[in-house]
Order: sequence, then C-alpha cells, then structure tokens
Amino acid sequence: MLITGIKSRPVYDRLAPFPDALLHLVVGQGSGGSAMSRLLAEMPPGAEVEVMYSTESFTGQNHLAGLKAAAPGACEGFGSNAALAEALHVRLARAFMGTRLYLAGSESFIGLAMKVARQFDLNADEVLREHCGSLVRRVWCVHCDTYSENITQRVFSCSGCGKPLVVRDHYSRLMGAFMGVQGDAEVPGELPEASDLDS
Amino acid sequence: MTTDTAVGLIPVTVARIDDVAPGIRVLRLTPDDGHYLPGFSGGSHVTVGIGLDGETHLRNAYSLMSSPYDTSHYEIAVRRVENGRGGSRFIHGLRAGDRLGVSSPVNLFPIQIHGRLHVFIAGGIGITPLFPQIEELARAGAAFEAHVSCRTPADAALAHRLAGRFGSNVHVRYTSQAGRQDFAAVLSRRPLGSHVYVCGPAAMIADVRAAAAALGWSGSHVHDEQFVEQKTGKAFDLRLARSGITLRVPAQVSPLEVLEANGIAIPYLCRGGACGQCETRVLEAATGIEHHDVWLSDEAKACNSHFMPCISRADGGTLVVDL
Amino acid sequence: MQLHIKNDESFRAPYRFSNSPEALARFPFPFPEDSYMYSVNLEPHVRTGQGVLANAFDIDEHYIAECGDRARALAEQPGVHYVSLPHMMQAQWDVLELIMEAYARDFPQVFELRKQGARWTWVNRLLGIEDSFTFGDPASLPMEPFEYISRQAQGDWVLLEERDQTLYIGAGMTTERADYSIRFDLGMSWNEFHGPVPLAHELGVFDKALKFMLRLRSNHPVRRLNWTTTVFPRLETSAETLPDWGPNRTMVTPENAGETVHLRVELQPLHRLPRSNAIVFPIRTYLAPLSELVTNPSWGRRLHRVMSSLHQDLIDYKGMTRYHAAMVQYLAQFDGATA
Repeated sequence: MLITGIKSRPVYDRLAPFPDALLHLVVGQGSGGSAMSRLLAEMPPGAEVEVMYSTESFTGQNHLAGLKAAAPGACEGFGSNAALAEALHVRLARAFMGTRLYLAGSESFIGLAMKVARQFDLNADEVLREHCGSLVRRVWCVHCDTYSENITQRVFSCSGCGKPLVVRDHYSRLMGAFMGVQGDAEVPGELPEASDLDS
Repeated sequence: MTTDTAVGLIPVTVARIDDVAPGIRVLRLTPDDGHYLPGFSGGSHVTVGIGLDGETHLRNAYSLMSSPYDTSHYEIAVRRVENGRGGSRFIHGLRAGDRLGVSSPVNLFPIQIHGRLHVFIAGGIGITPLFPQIEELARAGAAFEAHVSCRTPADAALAHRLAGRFGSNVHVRYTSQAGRQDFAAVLSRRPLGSHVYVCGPAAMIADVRAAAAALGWSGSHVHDEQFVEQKTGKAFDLRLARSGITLRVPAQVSPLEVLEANGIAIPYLCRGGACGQCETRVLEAATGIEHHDVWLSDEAKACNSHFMPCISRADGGTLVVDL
Repeated sequence: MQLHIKNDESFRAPYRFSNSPEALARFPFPFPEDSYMYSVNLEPHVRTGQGVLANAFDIDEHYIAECGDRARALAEQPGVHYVSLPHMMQAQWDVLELIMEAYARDFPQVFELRKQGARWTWVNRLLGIEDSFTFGDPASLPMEPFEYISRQAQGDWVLLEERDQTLYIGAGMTTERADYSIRFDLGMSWNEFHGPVPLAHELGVFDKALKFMLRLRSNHPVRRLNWTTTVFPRLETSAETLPDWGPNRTMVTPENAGETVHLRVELQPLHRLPRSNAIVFPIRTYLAPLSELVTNPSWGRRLHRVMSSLHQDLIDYKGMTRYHAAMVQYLAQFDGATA
C-alpha cells in the first residue's frame, strides 16, 4: 500500500477479491503482474475471472506466462498500455452490473486505466488499484501543457519547453499526472536543491 | 386553515386539488403574486408546515411531482394515512384557496448523471419523484426504465399519467393481479454503470436491495428514498442545557418540529433519521430514549449519548440536551 | 447603493489601481484576531449592512476594469482560464440564472432581466450589453452560458458537482486565481483540490467544511472569507504565468512594502444550484495595498500582529517567503506595542 503525505494522490489499495462479484476483471501491467498473481491465488473456487496484462514496463518485469497459467483460456496479453486500454474499453462496454475491476501497475498505468473505467461510472466500491513498481512520476508542465514521463527528480528540464520545473506534490486524477511549475520563476537561475522524488 | 410561516417557509396557495385515486390527493401549489418558486432537481422534496389546532406544528415531507422547468407552481401527492399524526388528514381536508407554507426544496435522491442506464422501481405513492426525475433524463436523451407497482387499476392513476408522458419504458404492474414484482428479473444483466432508484415502502426497498446485492450490484449504484412516518409517543419535556429553556414536546410532534416552532433552527435534511444532520448530544435521559433512526451506532443508542430529534423521542419525563 | 465605477484602471503593468475612501471603508478585513489560522469559518450568507455583505453578489467601483482584465486574460491564453466538463451544462444554466437574477434585483440601475417564459432579455448598462436568448438553449447565446455570464460578473467562479458524498470541480472561470491551474484542478474532489493547503487537513477543517457544504440547500447560501497577499495590484496570478509575476516578489523592500504589497481578500458566497444540484463557489476578490489599510489604525496594528505571528507553512504556501520579513518590518511602525 502506498500512502504518502500528498493528499491529492490516490490512496492505493491492496488487491483482494470483492465478495459479491459476478465477474472479476483483473487488469495490470509490468510489475503489477505479481499483485495480479497473488490476487488470482486468493480467488474463491468457481469465481468467474478474466485477465488482461500489458508487458510494457519501466522496470522490465514480465509476468505473462505465470498469469496465463493461473487463468488458462482467460488471459490476454498486450504489447502496450495503450492497446490494453483500448481493449479494456471494449470489454467494459459489454460488461454487466456485478463486474469488479482490479488494476495493478505503475501510477501512470493506473491513471490510464482509470480514465477508461470512469467512462463506465465505476465507483470506489467496484474498483481496486494496487500500485506496483517504481515511484516514477508523470509530470504535466503548467506552462507548455506537455507531459514528461518517468520523472524521478524534484527538479528537471521540461521535455516540451525546456524550462527547469519543480515537481509539486499535487496530483490530478483526470490527467493522471503531477504538476510541474517553473522552479526559478522569482529569480532566474535560483532553483531549489536537486533531490530524488522519494514518494 | 393556518399558514405556517415559521422558520423560513415560503407561503403558497392551494390552487387546485385532484383526488386522483382512493386516498391519493394531488395538490397544485402556487406562490404569491406572480413570483416563481425556487427551481429544483428531480428527486427533491419540500416540507409542508402544518398547524393543527393553532398549536401543534408538524412538518411533513413530500416529493415534488411537478416540472423542474416550470416553477410557476409545485405539485405534490399526499396519501391519506388513518392512524398517523394527522398531517395527511389535514391535507386531505384542505380546499382550493387555502394557504400553506413550504420549505425550499432539498434533494437527497438525485439522478446520477454519469449513469449509463437509470432503472426506477416504485410502489404506490413512491411514484411521485419519478415525474421530474424522468423528465430530466428524457430531456438529456438518457436511457431509463420505470417499473411501477400498484395494488389495483383503481390505484394506478398516477402510474398511467407517468406512462402516458414517457411511453413504453414505463411498466405498470397490478400486484393484486400479477403478484409482486420480480426484482431479480428487472436488475439482471444490466450494463455496467447502471443505477437503480427505489421509492416506496420499506419492505420493497429491502427486497430490491437484497436482489441487487445477490446480483453483485455495488451499493453506490442503488439509491432509495423512503418517507418515514413520524412516530407518536408520550409527551415529554426537552430541556436545553445551554440556553436553560425547557420545551414541551407533545405526543404527535417531533422534538425537531418543537425546536423549529420555537425559532431554534438546528441542521436537518432528511427528517427521517437517516442523514445524521440533526444529531444532538444528550446530557440526561432519565426515562430512556426511543431511537427510531438508522444513523446512530448501536453503542450510541445503548448509552443514549446522542439522539436524532427529527424522529426519536424520550419516553415521557425530561430529556436534557446540549443545545 | 451608489455605484461610481472607475474608468481607467489596470491590473497589469503599468498598474493603475486604488480604492476610493468608500471602497476602503467597505473593505472586508479578514482578521478578527491578532493571529490567524485556518478554521471552518462558514456562516449563513445573510445580507447585512450597506457594504460587501449587503447583496447576494457584490459589485464595486472596480467592476469595469476587472471585466476588462478577464477579457484580456481569456484572449491572451485561450483554454487556460475557462474550463467546463461536458456534463456541467445544467449547472451552467443554473448559475447564469442565479447571477442574472441577483444582479438585476440588487443593482436595478445598471442590470435588467426581462422574462417571457423561456425567452429572456438581459441588459448590462455597465458593459453596454443587451442580449435576448432562450433559457436552456445554448445556440441562442454567443458562447456557453457560464462563460457568457461570468465575463460580466466580478470575481472568479467555480462550479462543484456533488457525487459520492463529496464535491468535484466541474467547471471554472478563474482569471484571478492565486497560483493554481484550473485545467489541472478540473475533476478533483474536495480533498484533492485542497490538497496543497498546509495544516488545515490535520485540523479537520476540510472534513467539517465538506459536511457543511453537502447540506447546502437552495435559497440558503453560506459564505466565508479567505486571504493572501500579492505584490502589485495584479489579479491574474495563475500558475501558468508564474514567470511573469514571480519576479515581483523580489521587488519588495521595507520602504516600499506599503505600496507594493497588497492584501487580497476573497469573499466566497456559496450557493446550491437548483436544477443541477451543483454548488457554485464564487471567489470575489478585493485588493488593497497595505498603505491604504494602515490608514485605519486598528487594521494597521492587527496586520502587523497577524503577519508577524503567521505560521511558516502558511507564509510559504501563500507565496510570501521572499518578502515576509520586509513586510513585517514595514508594518511594525503601525503597531504601538512594538514601536
């Protein structure tokens, strides 16, 4: 479970089977595969389960084989998060009430999958999200409206406009990103100390 | 007939009365000289101030049945209850031209606009909020279905009115002929993102919730509104420790109504013991408290640390509260 | 009330801004005590007196300049200051109705609203506008209803949608915002968009305020005050333009703090919207340089005490870090206890 002091960041869950579901949709990416495998092992006997897994990964983890073994005939692999998101949209469009969604992976992946989930009015009592893997952030530059991926430093150079940005600890669920603002806006060249983003 | 304009009620005139079915009276209420009544969203209710014998001040809640887009008038439907406190009997005794006071609307039963399908299940007088709710959905082109139960065709005037306005998606059932609604059939295999709205007697609501749960519907997609009939009991004294005054709570009036009649406004919303807004700390409950709410925990009820003045009462004697 | 609107003001460099004695006398001074901390300072918005609380939504002598500054910000940065999610259209009409009815009722000498069923005519004599449109039909207005009316309404306006026992930002017209981005905050829940505020969460302020907000009912608005400081009378201080106004913070000295540092008070009269069941969160901003405020001796004294005792987290969050010491040094001369 990832709880930080950042109040706008989601409090992530630990995946565990919803007791009343008619269908469990287990969806994840990269290092999320380990949480997915753990979840599948905890499913009650006879549970209706479908698995969707993207091998796109910052940390290079690939759990596809294990997941296919755990859910034979009910596990589909995807080469990219975008492809998975498209397929998830199609699947949810024909799903019925009684479906529960489980997401596992990086913060960026979860943000992308939640954008799809929101279109189907899924609420907190129907979706669980487990954050797995590294703590890299997606950052949105408030000045040039560009996203920079996999940011690990408090101060970095915007991939869109080149400004030195400070990453604020404020997260937007719609964008799935943190905000970056110019770090030396008051005095050019005077930037906060460099540091790792550790949460 | 008295007008109750205590504590912020809007004065209205009973412009028209229609007894549409046995025991069901529809009132059309209009504001004073050319004003418009406050706008509202479908599912809203107003509380009607009812003065009995010039002394007793009741507030009964009724769903608005009229259009949110035409607030030159409000429409409510009132079912006559024989052994209640007298509020509905009072209303069934009104004549055109009589004056009433109504609160501004409050909505505890709103449409969930992000829903992909809206399923309504209504019984008897519970049909009233469906009129403005479905009007909103129809205007927005949203998908909906209504399943309305009435005992017999003679009771179904409002159901037929709803069906006449909104077409084949409104299904009317006469329980004396066809038996009770099969809620599992209504709720089965509905698209993700559906919402169900239930308005009717407590038993119906409980049955629908059970059927929904068995079909895996998440709680956040099941909505109900129930108008709790006020409980009568013994008269008792309500002592307000902070202000030092003691109020007499008559047998058929709720403590909340007594406070309001004395100009003491405490927060409230549902007036039915569900929303928690009127929660009041109790300092002394020598004769015990009859807790009729669903808000307080069992512990709080057992030790009488708090009570809900909208619906609960003391069993005679004096109740001392932190007000 | 008499409305003498100023003609030649500017909220951008070169600045031309001051409060008349009447405007200063009605300034909503936000400090009831010698120290300041966040609290649940919500109260019923009961109209009182002749000043800023006399009407549902206040208008003052800066109306024309403020509307002009809004138009300029919207033109210079399209898509940045005005946002609305698609499902908020009902709330947009609700707020158009709310503002038009309030302005026409409270300032009949300059605003007029005539209704014939759904066919409405709106007259705004201050901006020379007269438009007829069909209420509920977006095609009958030159732009979305919320943008249409908020371009003519003083202060920022945010629309909150109620869902899942909390409130979400669904739309906003925010050309006066203090260092945030409405595009970024769009869709955030109550706790999320208040996320960056220090200390208040731990005090339980936002949880209590949310409960209060959720029981807002039509015709029973509530209000609160908030405040911050700005260098120069610049209204447009968004996160997006931080590089434009950030350097201003380096220009404050103890000698010029009276003229450069402005107290920025936000009056927030919160209303439930009837058809959408949404809530409108207006942020009506009042500016005054410290030099004007200290002409009231009790305000001068109090300002010194509040600012000198302010918690460091609030100093940093409100952007005063660089010039806080200079400001306090300037204010000390108005506080007999330390002179």
